[in-house]
Amino acid sequence: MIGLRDTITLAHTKIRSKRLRLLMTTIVSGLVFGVMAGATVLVDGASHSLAAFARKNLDGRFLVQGSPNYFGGPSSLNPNDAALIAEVQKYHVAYIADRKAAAKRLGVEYDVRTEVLPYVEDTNPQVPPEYRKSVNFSSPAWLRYAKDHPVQASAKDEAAFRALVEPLGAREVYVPRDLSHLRLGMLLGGREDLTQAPSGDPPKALQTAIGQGSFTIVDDTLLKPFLARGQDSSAGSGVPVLITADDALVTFKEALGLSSRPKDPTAQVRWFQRLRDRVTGQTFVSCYRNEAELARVEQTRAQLAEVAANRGNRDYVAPELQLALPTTPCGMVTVTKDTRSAETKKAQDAVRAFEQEFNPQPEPRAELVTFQVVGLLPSPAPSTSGVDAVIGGLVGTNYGFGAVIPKDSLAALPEALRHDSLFALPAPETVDPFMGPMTQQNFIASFPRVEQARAAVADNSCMMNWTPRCDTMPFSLQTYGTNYLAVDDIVRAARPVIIALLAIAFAIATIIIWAMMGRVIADSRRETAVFRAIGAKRSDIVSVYLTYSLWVALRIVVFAAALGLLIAGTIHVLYAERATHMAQLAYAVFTPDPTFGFIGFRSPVLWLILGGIVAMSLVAITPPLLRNIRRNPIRDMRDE
Amino acid sequence: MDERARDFLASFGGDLEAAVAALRQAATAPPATGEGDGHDRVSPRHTDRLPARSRPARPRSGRTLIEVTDLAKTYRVGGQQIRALAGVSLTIDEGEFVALTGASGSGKSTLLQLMGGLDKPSAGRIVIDGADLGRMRDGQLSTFRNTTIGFVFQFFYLQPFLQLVTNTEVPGMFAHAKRGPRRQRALELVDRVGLADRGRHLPREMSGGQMQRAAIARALLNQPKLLLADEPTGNLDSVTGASIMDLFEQIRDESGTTVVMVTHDEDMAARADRVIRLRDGLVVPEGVGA
Ligand SMILES: Nc1ncnc2c1ncn2[C@@H]1O[C@H](COP(=O)(O)OP(=O)(O)OP(=O)(O)O)[C@@H](O)[C@H]1O
Ligand SMILES: [Mg+2]
Repeated sequence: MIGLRDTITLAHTKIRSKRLRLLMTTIVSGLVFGVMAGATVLVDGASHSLAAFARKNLDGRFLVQGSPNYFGGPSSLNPNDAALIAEVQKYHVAYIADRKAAAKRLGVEYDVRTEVLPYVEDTNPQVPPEYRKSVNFSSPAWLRYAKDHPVQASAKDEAAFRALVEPLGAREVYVPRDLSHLRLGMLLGGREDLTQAPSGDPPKALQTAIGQGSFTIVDDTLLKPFLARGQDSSAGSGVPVLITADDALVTFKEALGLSSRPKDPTAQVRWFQRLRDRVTGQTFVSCYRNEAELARVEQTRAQLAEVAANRGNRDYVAPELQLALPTTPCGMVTVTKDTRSAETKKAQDAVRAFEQEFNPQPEPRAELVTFQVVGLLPSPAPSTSGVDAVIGGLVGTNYGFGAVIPKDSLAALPEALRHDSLFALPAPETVDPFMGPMTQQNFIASFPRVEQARAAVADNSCMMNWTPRCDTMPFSLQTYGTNYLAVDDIVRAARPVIIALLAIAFAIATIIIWAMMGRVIADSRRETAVFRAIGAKRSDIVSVYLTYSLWVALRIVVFAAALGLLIAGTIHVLYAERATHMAQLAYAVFTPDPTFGFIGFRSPVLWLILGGIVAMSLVAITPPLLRNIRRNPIRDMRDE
Repeated sequence: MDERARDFLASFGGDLEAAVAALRQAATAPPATGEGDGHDRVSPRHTDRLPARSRPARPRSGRTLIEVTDLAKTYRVGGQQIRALAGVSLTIDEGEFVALTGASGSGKSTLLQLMGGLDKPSAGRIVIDGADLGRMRDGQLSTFRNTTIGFVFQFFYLQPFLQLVTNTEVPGMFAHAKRGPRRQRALELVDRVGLADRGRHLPREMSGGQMQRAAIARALLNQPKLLLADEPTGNLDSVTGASIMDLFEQIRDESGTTVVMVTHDEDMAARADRVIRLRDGLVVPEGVGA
């Protein structure tokens, strides 16, 4: 059996014999794999940098948000099903009976023809008869039916969320409260003018998250890095809130004489810190008005317009019930005059009672809320160049678009400032004809390690890649707060493309290497025969050529790795500093450590690529080599 | 000359008597040619040698090295059967220098390849140095070719990218011989075939005769008992060819190596101890005109 050094000596003569072909093979496959290796190194570096910032940002808490997942549904529901329609029809009959009885009891006039039918009918003769009638999913009869026949959907409550994330390693579960359904509208300068109905686009200052009322109550723990220090919330003068840097600028620019965001990321870091210092402690007010009160405002406006239009008209009979717009910001509509007869009043009250019985509405309500800024959330910088845009996309934050109210700080406020009952108002329930009642309540889980969070998101996300499992998944998970898995998300979204590219690259390289190896071995037939004649065993020949193919593979690996490193290294040198500043901004981590880097070697894909080259070379050489050693050596020596 | 003598003695396994006997015979044969000055000139002594045919036949040693019995080989090409050998029987003694001649297609190469264990006969038996080739497995045949046989080809078949010394070492590589002694022996052999100052050259930097000398050195590396050469001078001019013949004789004389050489050249054949003629795959009995 031939020794290793001799094997290498003989294999080396092969390297020298087909130089140009080998060089071309090395360059082409090295380029193909080098680009891929570079991409892997970049992705791994960026992904780990994000994780490092996230770790610093929340002391090693990796947050994952679960949103109720309603992908699947009872697909068996057939709106044309005659039996179902008959069943709903029964509910309709019962509903009508209830309405009739209530109307009689309350002394209200009632006309059955005003009721919504439990089915709709298509009169088009082209439609087959069995499809003409279908359930009317917006009819009261259907809603009653649906309530009695809840869909067997998986639970979407906190217990269900815990059952999902705790086995995956989650330590804590937080329940944020979304307040956007309250539609808290900011009052510019604390003033309000209701005489004019709003028309056209709201002013720019109201197009912010706080202008539109996007507030979420979240535990302080999750917001720590963004909370300005030295704030004693119990001494506050309003509901504590963290607003985005952009919102802060739009809202307080003129009042505080704030400077705009600079272009340079380094300068942005300083700008952000200064802005935070300036804005912290500032207050603004917002107004809550419920549907009933808004309707009253509307009614008042219409009445005032009507009265104004009939000024001087002698025949005009003024309304018996006269209303006036509020005189204080976020005040309530008041009754200025009520000349209704007792009878009219009674009749109107009866109609309201009748409607309340079947479609209960809350009493009109208006409430002024004072907010006080206690910290700044990063907002993504407007992209200046392509690369900045890419990096900006990576280091983005995700606090559910808008402002965040720290829960514990809120609880520490005096009761008068807290608006407990207002903030406790539940979001209106949406009832889907197919799904039944749908909750929008999100949950947040905290994982101690990024790998756990990554695995949890990868296995339970229907946002990026839909799988049949999504039908039964109770929650869809994504990162919360800082988007530390941005790179993973991109990779996951691009996975089909990446796999296709990898397959193409491997196919190209395989063909090239295959062709080259095949030629080299075929050209070496006589040499093999001579070696056999002077005493080489088959295994000796195999050793020599396997060594040769390993050597070829190694050259490609080295070339690819060097090229990959060059690509990643170039990007690192050019953009690491910028990315560090952008990440500092996004994560509100302003310490010198960590820094953002684009070089990482931990991706298994990288090693898969490099190992794949070796495996491929070995595979490529096997068939021609086997053919060669099976041949009769003298035949190859005769061929001249 | 000291080194040569030692090497020479060593090739007889230290058997002084045998060495002396060989030396005595060697005295009748001319020594190897020039010291590798780049041309394969024949030394002036060769030109006045006796006519080949009239040289006294060398006495046979009496110890049989090769025993071929009823050897037949049929090639199948397409549907056709080609009888390359049709029942060859012969014996060759240790230390004999035998020339195989015959018309083209008479089966010379086939016989040589079968004796070298490169192919399997269709019928018959080959025993070399007491070993029946037909009973050997592939791996054993490889070892047999490696240690017992040295092949010399018409087209040399050196490794184009290995220096001459390394080329010479190749059989030692397959024998997994220790590098130090192996290299030492290769250097000695390169010296012995007259290429001492060419050890670091690549084959393409050498003439045909030099390449054939290198190939012979390679064939000798593992001290084979049998040297099989298929038209070793076929690709060389007659003067260079003659110097190769000198080298074979010298090797046979110094080391007692048996040499079986295929040749078309009657002059070359005449320099052998014995000429075996083939015709249509059969040995022509001695005494029958060529
Ligand atoms: N591998 C083979 N396949 C088919 N036929 C073969 C093969 N090798 C030899 N032959 C045939 O066997 C016969 C003997 O061939 P061989 O090569 O032994 O002749 P040779 O005496 O060496 O001839 P030459 O002097 O031309 O080299 C020829 O007819 C040849 O065509
Ligand atoms: Mg021949």
